[in-house]
Amino acid sequence: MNAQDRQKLAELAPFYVAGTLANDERAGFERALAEDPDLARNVEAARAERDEVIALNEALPAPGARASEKLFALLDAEPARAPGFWRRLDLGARLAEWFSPRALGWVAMTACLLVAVEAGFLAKPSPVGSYATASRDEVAPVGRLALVAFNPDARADQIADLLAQNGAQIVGGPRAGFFQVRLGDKDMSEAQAASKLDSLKASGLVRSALKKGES
Amino acid sequence: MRKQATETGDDAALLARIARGDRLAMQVLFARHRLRVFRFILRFLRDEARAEDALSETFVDVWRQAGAFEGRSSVSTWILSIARFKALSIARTRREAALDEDYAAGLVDEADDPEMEMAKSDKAAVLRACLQKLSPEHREIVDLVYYHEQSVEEAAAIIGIPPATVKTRLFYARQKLSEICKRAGVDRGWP
Repeated sequence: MNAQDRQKLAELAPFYVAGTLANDERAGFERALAEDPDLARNVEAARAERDEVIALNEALPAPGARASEKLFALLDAEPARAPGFWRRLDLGARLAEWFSPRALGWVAMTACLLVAVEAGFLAKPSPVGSYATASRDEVAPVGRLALVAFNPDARADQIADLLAQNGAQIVGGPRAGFFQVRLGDKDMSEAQAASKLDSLKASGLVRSALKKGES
Repeated sequence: MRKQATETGDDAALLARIARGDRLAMQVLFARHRLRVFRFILRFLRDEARAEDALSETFVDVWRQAGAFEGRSSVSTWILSIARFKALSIARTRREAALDEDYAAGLVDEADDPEMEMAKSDKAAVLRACLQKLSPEHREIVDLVYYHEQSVEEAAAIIGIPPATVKTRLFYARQKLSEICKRAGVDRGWP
């Protein structure tokens, strides 16, 4: 190995210690390391540097809440996104979303629920002695409604718990990834509905939630 | 600590959502990177309030430019590049306004100080004290490689220098560190 090769290896020692060398470069470095005591001393020195550099940085303060507040205040002042037609359509992402196993699972679950509810209704006479279709509420649900898209990694049991805790129900969908959710009856105030919507959003299970009718 | 491939992929997916105006994705990305980016900025500005402002402005740029991210570097490298530019712009404005005490404090003073005198009994503490005596340019490359775990190419992209210069700059920074340590009475055994 000539002096130039030694210099190149010496320059790589910090990257080896930091774990940022590519696989082939790392393998070559380790072969040289096994035979070169000077390179081994270099690596030992680099390890000590790394440890102290990390300690120094970890001793620095963390940003306060002010940074986050300022950021989102600045974002509030940003103009609304006006994506182009093709980006808004985002066909690739939409297709992947619609045909993902989770989405298909939701479709199947929704279908099963509808069949089950329909069957229950058909078997149960109404108080006035006539029959009503189970889909009546599906067609025109009443009350405070919202459109809710759940995170792709949210499990069905988590979603069911979340809705139960908030006294909400899925009454329609999914359409374009959104379920129609009834937050409460039509006597519920705007403030109560907004609070319930905030609670759903804060759960970490909801990707997007809008009062129905909002853009 | 090493960046995981999944984390990098998640970050790219978050950026795609941010490009569509998704604020939740912005919150997640900010939560994930704010600490390291803040500490990187703080090295340049040495003022927490200014560093917090620069951090906010960095992520406003992330919001605005998310649609332009092409995935040629990792998301963390891209954010650090924006943060560096932002911090240097702020530092430059301050320097132009006045050569104030903070800037004077940034000039390298390699003479022993009381902290160094106390540290002489502990090799690790000496090394830590000596690291703080490196020039800002040397300290930056050392932090990027060891703390921010940036590769040669990533560090080159952040600083805006060729990859070969990243390697030689770090090599000379380490040599300088050994010299400072030697003057403080500690032989690191390399070079």
